Amino acid sequence: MSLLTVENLSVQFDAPEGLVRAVDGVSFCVKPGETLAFVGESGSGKTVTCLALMGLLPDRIARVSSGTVLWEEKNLLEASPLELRRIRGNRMAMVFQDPMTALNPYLRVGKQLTEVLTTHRSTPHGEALLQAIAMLERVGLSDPEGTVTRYPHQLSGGMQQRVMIAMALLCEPSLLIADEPTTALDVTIQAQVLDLLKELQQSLGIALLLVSHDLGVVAGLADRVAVFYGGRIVETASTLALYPKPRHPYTQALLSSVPRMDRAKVDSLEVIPGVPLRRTDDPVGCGFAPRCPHAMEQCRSEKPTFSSSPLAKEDVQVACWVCPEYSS
Amino acid sequence: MSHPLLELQDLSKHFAARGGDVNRAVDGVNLSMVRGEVLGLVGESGCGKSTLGRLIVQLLQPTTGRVLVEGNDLSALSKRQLRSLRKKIQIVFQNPYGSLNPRMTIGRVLAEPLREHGIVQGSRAIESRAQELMERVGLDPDMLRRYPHEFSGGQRQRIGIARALAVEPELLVCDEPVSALDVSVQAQIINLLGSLQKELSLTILFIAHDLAVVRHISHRIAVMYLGKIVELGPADEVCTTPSHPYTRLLVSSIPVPDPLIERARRRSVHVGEVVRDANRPSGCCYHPRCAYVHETCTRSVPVLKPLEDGRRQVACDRIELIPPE
Repeated sequence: MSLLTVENLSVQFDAPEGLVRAVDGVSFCVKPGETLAFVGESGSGKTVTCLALMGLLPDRIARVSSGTVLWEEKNLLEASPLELRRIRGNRMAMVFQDPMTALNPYLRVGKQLTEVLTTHRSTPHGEALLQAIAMLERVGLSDPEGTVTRYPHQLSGGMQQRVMIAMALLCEPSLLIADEPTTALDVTIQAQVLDLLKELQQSLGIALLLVSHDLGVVAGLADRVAVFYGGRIVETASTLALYPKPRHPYTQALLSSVPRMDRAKVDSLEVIPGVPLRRTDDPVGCGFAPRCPHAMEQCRSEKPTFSSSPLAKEDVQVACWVCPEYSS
Repeated sequence: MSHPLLELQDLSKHFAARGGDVNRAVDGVNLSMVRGEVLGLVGESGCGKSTLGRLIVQLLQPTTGRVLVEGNDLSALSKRQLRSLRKKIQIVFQNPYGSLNPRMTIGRVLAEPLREHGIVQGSRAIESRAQELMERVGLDPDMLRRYPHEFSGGQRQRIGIARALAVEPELLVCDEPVSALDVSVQAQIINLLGSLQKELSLTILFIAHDLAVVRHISHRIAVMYLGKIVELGPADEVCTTPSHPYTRLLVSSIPVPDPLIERARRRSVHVGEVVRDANRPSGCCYHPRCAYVHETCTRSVPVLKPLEDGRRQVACDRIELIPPE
């Protein structure tokens, strides 16, 4: 059974320039203990999808216009604030991209960590502090007793992100959503945090929903990958199936446009022509068609849906009119 | 023998930090670049790579040391002499949103350096030169009347490049020119810089934190750590057989888009954080994080020395004693 099942989720924003379909009919599921990665460029809908799951959309300007989010068969979109509160931050926790702005600058690290336990578990303060210190040690901070007395600005970026991870794990969640957890970090620190996430996830058996634009980061961590473009998932596949044989033209282009350390130098990089969709664009057909080298008439007139049939046995789903034919 | 286009001699920039401390952002850098060369400068945030770029384009004045362009010491020149040399060095900034004046049309953005440096005379000539520049960087010349907000990030970075090229520079300092861009657009800009470099025989100092990108575009790579260059050599060799322990850590930390490699990977174990300057370690700055540290490393500051093959320079006193990877 899936832990989280999302069907046909759409999120719209009212922006000054018009209606923005940030997420447009997204479906996926997360099984217990697995890692699903969202990859795609900025504005493709990855983060907004996560915020919708967590009920963190700014409700003045954003709304979920369709879909269901089933958490162990309960629709979170219809849950009462109380029910939501029992799940969010407790069973399902989130780590944000920029730890400096996600932590409260006015509160000591210890206060921010213990709050999680006193709120969700009614743990007495002294006990909560001990658990917080133990968790800081678990995420690899060398001086956990000292760290709880500090303010966020007194910690380096890597330490702040470890604090964020510790905070998310305190209630032993079943699902951890990590939105670009290492993007703000230097590459050597990124490697440490990725190793930590991998180790924690394996030893605690939590499911991980990882959002990243970095295909290298995803390759190391994910079991399955969902590729976002223009608010839609254009391809999902197991990591081991996706990298050697990307099917969707966008995934192919994405993988061949990054310079790679593991291959010999090439003369020039493959380029995806054109520019990403603008936020207010609402194409009739496939959003990638204007940039796609294989686009045909149908691509411009009709939105492609997941055609899993020819590829189903490989656990690959592709939303593309062209690619089942040319990839076979 | 003519002078190298750019030469940095014992260049340092120290900033006053809080509590009377000194932040040695750039600390005794020696480097030279020949015409037509692309030198990649890599390092993590705070290592001083952007400060070094700014010293070269005279946006900052060095605390000690000299910047020589074609053998002329920039700090010894009169204002007028400096002005004519400045034309030869231009910079492309990281953030294409912050580096263009939002109230100026692109036509004015491009006309300003043309007029200021007297590259072409008369408004008609300026306009046609601006159109040429737009074409050169792959933009529609009809868009000169538009404002920066009407362009995407990638297009704005093209405008930033066009502006830098307006005065026909010889040396282009590119400070993280693609790190604000999405991957699909990043490749366009990298290829553009590569082809401009060849067509115009530009010399480029390419500053970036992404070693894979730097390797792609550069002939040589310099690796910086806490204000010093710790390794310098041919781009491919530095990436495939990194020598300095820090370069090794850097290379082994970069995730590659291949799940088989990533799953099999044993990362260079060593940990630690980048130290802030106030706690700058004695001796070799890297010793607290170094996997091969020895007690002598805490005492003497290593200088950049050529390795046996003469192709590479490394600042590590114990490099001969460290096993190759």
